[in-house]
Amino acid sequence: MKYLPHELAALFDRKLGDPHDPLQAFSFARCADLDEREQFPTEICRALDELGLAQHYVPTAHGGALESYEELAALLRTVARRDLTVAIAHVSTFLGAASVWLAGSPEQAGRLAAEIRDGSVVSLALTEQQHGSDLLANELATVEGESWYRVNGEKWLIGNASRGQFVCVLARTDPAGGPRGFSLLLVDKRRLAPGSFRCLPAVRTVGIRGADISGIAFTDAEVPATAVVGEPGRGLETVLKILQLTRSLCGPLSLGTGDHALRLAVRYSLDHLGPAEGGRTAPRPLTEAYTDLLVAEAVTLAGARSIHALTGELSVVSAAVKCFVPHTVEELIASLGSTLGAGVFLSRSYLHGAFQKLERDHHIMSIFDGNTFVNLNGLINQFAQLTRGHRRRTVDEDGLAVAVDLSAELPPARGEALELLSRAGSSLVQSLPSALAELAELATLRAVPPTLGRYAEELLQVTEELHAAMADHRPSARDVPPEAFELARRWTQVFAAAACVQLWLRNREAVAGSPTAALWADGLWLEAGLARLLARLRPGTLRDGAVFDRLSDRLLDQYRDGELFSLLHCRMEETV
Amino acid sequence: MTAPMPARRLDRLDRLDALLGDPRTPEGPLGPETVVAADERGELPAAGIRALDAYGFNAELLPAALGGRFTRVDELAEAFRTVARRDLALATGYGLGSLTAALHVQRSGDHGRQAELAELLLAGGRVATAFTAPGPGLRAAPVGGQLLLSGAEQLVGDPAGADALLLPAALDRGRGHLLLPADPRLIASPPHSSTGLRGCRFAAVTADGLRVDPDRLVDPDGDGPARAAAVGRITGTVLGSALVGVLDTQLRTALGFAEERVLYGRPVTGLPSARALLVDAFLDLLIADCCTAVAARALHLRPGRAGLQHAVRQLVSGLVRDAVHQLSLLLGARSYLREGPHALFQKQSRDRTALATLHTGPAQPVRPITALTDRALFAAEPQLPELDLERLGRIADEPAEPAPGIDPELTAAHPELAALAVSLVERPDATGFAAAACLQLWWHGRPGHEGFRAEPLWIHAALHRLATRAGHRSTATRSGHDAALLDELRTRLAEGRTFDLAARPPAC
Amino acid sequence: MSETALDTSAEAIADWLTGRVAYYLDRPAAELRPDVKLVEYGLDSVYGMSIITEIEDRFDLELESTLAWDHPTIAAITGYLHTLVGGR
Repeated sequence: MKYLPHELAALFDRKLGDPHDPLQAFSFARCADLDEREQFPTEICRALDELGLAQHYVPTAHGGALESYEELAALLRTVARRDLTVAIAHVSTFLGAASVWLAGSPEQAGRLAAEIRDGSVVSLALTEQQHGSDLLANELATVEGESWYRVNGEKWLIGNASRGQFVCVLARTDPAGGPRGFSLLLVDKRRLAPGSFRCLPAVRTVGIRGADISGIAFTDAEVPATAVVGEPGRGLETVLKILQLTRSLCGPLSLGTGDHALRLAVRYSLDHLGPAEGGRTAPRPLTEAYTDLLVAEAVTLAGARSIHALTGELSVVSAAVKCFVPHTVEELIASLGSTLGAGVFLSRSYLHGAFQKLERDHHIMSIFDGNTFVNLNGLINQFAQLTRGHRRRTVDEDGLAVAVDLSAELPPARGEALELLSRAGSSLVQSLPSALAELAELATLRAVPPTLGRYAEELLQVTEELHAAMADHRPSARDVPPEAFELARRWTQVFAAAACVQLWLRNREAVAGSPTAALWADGLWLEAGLARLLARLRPGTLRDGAVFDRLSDRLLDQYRDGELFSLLHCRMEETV
Repeated sequence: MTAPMPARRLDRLDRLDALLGDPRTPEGPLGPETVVAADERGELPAAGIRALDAYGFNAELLPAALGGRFTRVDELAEAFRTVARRDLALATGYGLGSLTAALHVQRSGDHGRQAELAELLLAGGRVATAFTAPGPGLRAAPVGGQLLLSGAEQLVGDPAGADALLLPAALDRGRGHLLLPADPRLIASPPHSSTGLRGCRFAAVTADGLRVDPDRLVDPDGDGPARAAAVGRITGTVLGSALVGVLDTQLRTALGFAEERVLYGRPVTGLPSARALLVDAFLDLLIADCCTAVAARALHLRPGRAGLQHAVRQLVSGLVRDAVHQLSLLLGARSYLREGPHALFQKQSRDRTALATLHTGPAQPVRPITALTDRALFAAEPQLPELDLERLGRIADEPAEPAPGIDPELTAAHPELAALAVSLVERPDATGFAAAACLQLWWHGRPGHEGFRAEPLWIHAALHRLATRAGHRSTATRSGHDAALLDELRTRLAEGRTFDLAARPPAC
Repeated sequence: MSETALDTSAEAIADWLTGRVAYYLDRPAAELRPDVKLVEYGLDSVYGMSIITEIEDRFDLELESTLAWDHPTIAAITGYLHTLVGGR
């Protein structure tokens, strides 16, 4: 089996050249230097443009190359594995444009597509200094004329607000506000009257120091009525829908960063620590981190494919991806950091100080694009759907089959199928009981180790207990109890388990004979992954850790062959 | 012989607190803006250094046997915490190297070096030491009655600004440490542009065939690693206590933000999940405080239990790391900005991350630690025997006591608390120890204390917090204690009291 | 879903709906007025959409998740629901 998105990403990575070569545009050395000087990666972004990355932000319907979000995810992952700052700085254009693809008129979309093709940068301006994630409290407002809107107010902490030619602004178009009181305006900064806007100074941040994180203030800035994206009053709805897409794409950004972290850790370990005591296996913290990364990959793959295959469920899928993947990678980086010790952390002498940089950069992932609380709250608000779906075992069988079979062709993405609530709950989680039964059956037949049979039992119990507790949750309009957040967090872990089980079951035959077949044989990665998930879902139970040592050769092979740490083969441009 | 009772201890801390100034006020020597600005410049705040000089902080680091004031690790730990609350980099950069050197040289028994170091420190000098880093390190080879020093140490705390350096070196047999006066032939690299503890100006030190007298070697027997281990148990405990100070600041910043910030029509503290998050961080702080206090006392009372400090170090750094991460989610973008009214948060966060790598090292499996029974470990005003550096350096760990010793009187008075603590004792990490430490410190600490510390509110909540962390499904609903604990936090915030068990008021 | 016939009169819908909103808001139904916007009672309009599932279950309907955005009061939702199910 050839996993095509990885083929595309590998080709892309090869064209970018070896990141260890300081003469390449997109090298680790240059990224370290730009970070130190807090400078925008202009040349690197230009190189990415020349290789056509921005075209992958534009749907094929408008002449771009965005056909599959799975491909876009794979590309973003390889960019992030070199540098998260660059990935975030560049992908901003997708964030800014996504509303136009979803809700804009064909003419508006066509014009924006042409602009992006010519190198324009688009920015998404949602937040204001005083209101953070509380979008309904936003104050930036418009006065409406016959054929124009006049904009007044300020947006703050906006990616590429200064550099972007276009800013897609969420504005209060009805003074009374409310969920139908906001509209999106696609503002072409070049067409604004001089003096009617100013870009706010760049904000100094802990990580992604080179990125343009700034703001924009409007004073009687007049834009044509045609700047409205979609119907007036539908801005909030559109934003909440495109956030489902962008949150799903946070998965690959985190994964790429995690890949970089683990690669540095393996390198350091081979250079300086020698083999672990009493054997040739990699130290346990490395194999555990490897496992976590593979689990996060399973979640990310299922998430990206769900954009096409389970579109109506994306409100829960994207929240799960956004909570689970960045959190897992954040913990992975912290754990590797303490394993590596101060030498790697505190000095730039070792590999350009890349580890400390990615650690700082990655903190942004749990903060931006809807923080963890917002996403968990989004899940809590859908407990009714999730428990109903679990009770009825509702599964969109066709959609699920496509979402988790990596060889299946994805149907075109249909933005109009996005829903603010997932009526059906989550097919992935609701199919978990039957998938676990299948796994247990394989254990009985000795096709997989008996441990997996036991894990299946444990997981089934955890899933039932969790949904029972979720059903007991008393919905409340305002005072969401902290216990509900804990349930939602556990639900994301069960979601991750479901992604792992389904991916393993549905692809284990197809990967036979592929370069990563040994990872899949006997349920190796699945056993390790479920062990890690159960350790979180049921802490305090001692489980045999030998499975992590059995992953050691896979980890070291992928490292030595310059492959992405992945369930699927992906050769990168990487000297070892 | 016992170390003197800490009669003047509080006076000393008060004086230190007063000299360092109220951390809430911008005018003080260590106001948030001053601390953040110094960090941006990669320096320690000059006013903070002057305050520590004026206080004579170096004397706190120098063992009494050598003419300083250091007798008890618990006191030293509190002094570090007092500085770290304002600026972790200052505590580390000013004190850690000199403390490490002082302990090491005391342990060596080398009178010449002891006198030299005492003089240097009491005159306000500073000693730089090295931390574990990649690379082959230094080598000291005997040549014609002298030692020929070659190689490099990659991670030394501000070598250019130090008056002396204590550097490890490989010997023909074993490893030792050299105490060297500052010397231009010890070439310091420009400071690494590090991500945290920037003011500590970590740099590499290179020696290229530097000849030094053999009496510079403080471990001629090649037993340097054992001595370093003994010293590390003390410095690790002190730094654990400093981390409690960091969590104090982070919680203070986050609470201040949450009280002011209005989201969804009310202050963030109106959201039950935000209240729970703040209260959990408070409980983690109290638990970490109890653990470091007992670990510090155990250095005096149970020097043979090497595993204890190690386990507490892992537990406390984990507690503080997780709590700070949660608080960062509450602060949201404000936790990521190096400017604005909450910028101290990110500065202390980066310092914490950096310190964790300095003082954790490679993770090691933790043996189960059962509770300890000595009353003195938990007494309100314990008498502690003098520190025995020689025993602290023995690697072999004494076996743990077979059974957790919860005071029978306590068990009778609070059976549910005792049962909860006992249920945690078998955990394969330090959770059981933490539960026993909290519970017994509370129990024995009640006489002589009133109010919050003596009341059962926090200990109930803390034990449930530990149980939840250990994966026990909580039976108690938390709503009961959240409101009361948040009130306590608010009161302390308003009065400027510390969030640890001592609830120290700001110095006048 | 109960097998007994559901009362789909506007009055019955309004009664039931008021009861559910009161439950979510944790306040007596008698305090709620049909013409006051739910947002003003504190029913968070972005995330407080849980009630939709209950309506769907009760009346066996598929509704837009933005129902309460376009029909922001109890009276408005009732009116809308009545046009959908009142004839049953």
